[in-house]
Amino acid sequence: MNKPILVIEDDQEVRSALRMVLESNGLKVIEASNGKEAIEKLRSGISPSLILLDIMMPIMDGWDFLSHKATEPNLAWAPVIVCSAADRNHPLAHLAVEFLPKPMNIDRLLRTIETYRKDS
Amino acid sequence: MFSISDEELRRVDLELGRRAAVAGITQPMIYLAYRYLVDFPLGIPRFLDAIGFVLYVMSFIRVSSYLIQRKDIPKFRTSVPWRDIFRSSAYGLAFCWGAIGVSSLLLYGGSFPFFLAVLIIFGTFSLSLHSYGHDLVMTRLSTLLIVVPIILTLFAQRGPNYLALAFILIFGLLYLQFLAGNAHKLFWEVLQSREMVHVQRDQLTAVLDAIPGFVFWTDGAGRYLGANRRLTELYGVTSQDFVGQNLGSLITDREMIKLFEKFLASSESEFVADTPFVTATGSRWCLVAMRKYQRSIHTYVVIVALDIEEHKRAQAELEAIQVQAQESARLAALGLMAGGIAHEINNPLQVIRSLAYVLKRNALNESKEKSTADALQLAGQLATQIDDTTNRIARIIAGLRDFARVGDGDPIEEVNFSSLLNEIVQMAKMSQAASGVSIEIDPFDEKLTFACRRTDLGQVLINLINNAIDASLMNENPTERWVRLHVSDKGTDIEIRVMDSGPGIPENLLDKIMLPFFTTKFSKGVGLGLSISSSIIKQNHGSIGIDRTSPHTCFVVTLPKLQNEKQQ
Repeated sequence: MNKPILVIEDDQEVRSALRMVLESNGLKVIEASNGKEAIEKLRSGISPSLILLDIMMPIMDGWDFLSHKATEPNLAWAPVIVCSAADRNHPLAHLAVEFLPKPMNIDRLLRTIETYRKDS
Repeated sequence: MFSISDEELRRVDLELGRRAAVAGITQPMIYLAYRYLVDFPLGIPRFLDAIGFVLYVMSFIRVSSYLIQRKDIPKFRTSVPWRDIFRSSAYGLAFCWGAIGVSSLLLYGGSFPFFLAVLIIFGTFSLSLHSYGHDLVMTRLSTLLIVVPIILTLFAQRGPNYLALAFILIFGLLYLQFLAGNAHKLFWEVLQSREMVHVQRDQLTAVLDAIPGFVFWTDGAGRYLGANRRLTELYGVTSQDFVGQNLGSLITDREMIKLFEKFLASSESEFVADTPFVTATGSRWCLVAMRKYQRSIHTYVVIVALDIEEHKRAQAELEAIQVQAQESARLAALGLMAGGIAHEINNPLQVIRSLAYVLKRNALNESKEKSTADALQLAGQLATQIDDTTNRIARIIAGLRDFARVGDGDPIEEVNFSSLLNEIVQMAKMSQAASGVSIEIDPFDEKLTFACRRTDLGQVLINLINNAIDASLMNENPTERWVRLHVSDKGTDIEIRVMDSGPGIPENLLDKIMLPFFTTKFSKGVGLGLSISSSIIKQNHGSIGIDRTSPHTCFVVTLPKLQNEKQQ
């Protein structure tokens, strides 16, 4: 029960602000500063209940992360909410369950997390 | 119009004729003198007459052979009329024939067939010697070899006194031959010099007439000595109309005359300036160059005025286009960054929203979970963070405003390079394209400062970094997409290297990439970034190029640390 939420975001201030929000709502948080770091964490056995994903990031961006995640069955199951004003018509857009453009309304973010979070 | 006229050249021809005549007349005079002094034995006078005659025939042959040989030079025939050539050579011939006629026919009643026979024999001999190439020594020697033994033999028969006289005669002849030879030599040299003058005059005239501008030359007092065809045609005059006249007789532009007079009075030997030049057809921009030259004690001046009206206009148009292009490129870069700008501002907004949420939640839940003091402390921290984050947004907006602004009128200021580069990198990261590309700055002296226009350099750097980002995105390995910036202090200069992990620029394009409108990213750019960067760098007295030895694409910008405001 209560698996962590993986926040993939290159902006350290945004990461820690989201952490405060999520933790104040009793959710555990794991951070990754780019797609590559996130993939490594997932491969190391971390099993998040949901992923909050930024798109514009150095080293490995959000789209690359989605495409990598889709090709590895072990990582594929966690739902992804894209936290960015990214293009919803992107060929990989179907790999995300929801798109929330920044600055996200926190209540809506929490509701969406509740909707898609998979604790089991 | 060349200042040496055909009339002068004709005078040279006639002078040559006179000299030939002098050479011709000295010989018969000496011959006549010894003919009266010496009582020749029977039969000898006629023979000696023949020898004397031969000498004059040779003069004739020299002139004739010259004329025959010069036939193959068309310039000679066209520049000097045949009648002048004949007239000049006729001087010499008239004296020769006159002397022969008088000495032979009057004194001895010599027969014409005899003279004719001698003429043919010695004429052929002399011509054959000439065919070796005007060898005057050979000609003279051949004459003496025939004459000297005959004189010695004949005089020796008459006794020692006559032998002494013979020696005097021989030395006299040798001296005369020497004089005649010198005259001939001079004759040849002057003819050849004149020919050279002809050729050089024609060449120089062609060069002057080919110059797309006005060329004229004056003496030290500003009197015309000549002008090229373009100028004389412009005023519809010939050389006679203005040569010797003052400068103002042709050039009516007061400014130009003032410029000329100032130059003439100065100690400068050269003067070059762009200036409007009022001619009969209106005012044109001209590149005026004047140069003084000395010939013995006289000073002369050559003035060249090249019409650069078209060049000036094209230059002004190019400058206007460059300004527009710079503006377009700036706007295009802003357009490309629009998505990134939104992202960059939305991130701090997200922080503010999140912190505000936590703050609100903290306020509502304070009695349940935390002590009042803890809640207040947290509230204070959150408020500070929110304040900091709004500053972050303000900085981004200020940076954008700086970039969007035209910086031409900006002063040159001392710029901390580290802070400028960090700002620019932040800006570059805003670009949508920068996603997935790591931009690194190699450590360098953070105190490094240098003088430049901040906006100018910013634009160059953002162009280079954006290009590098685009290039590195072409690397198929997503983890190998990077841009690296390396700054080094080179004493008087600062060197900035922008490297990327892209596939590199093909060798055949290396020379073209700085050209305006050259692009390899057709869908993304118009090909102005590098050409504008290059022109900005040049304006700042720096250079921009590619390090071809680098394993990765590496642009190198070099800028002097000190900029002279006046040069801008």
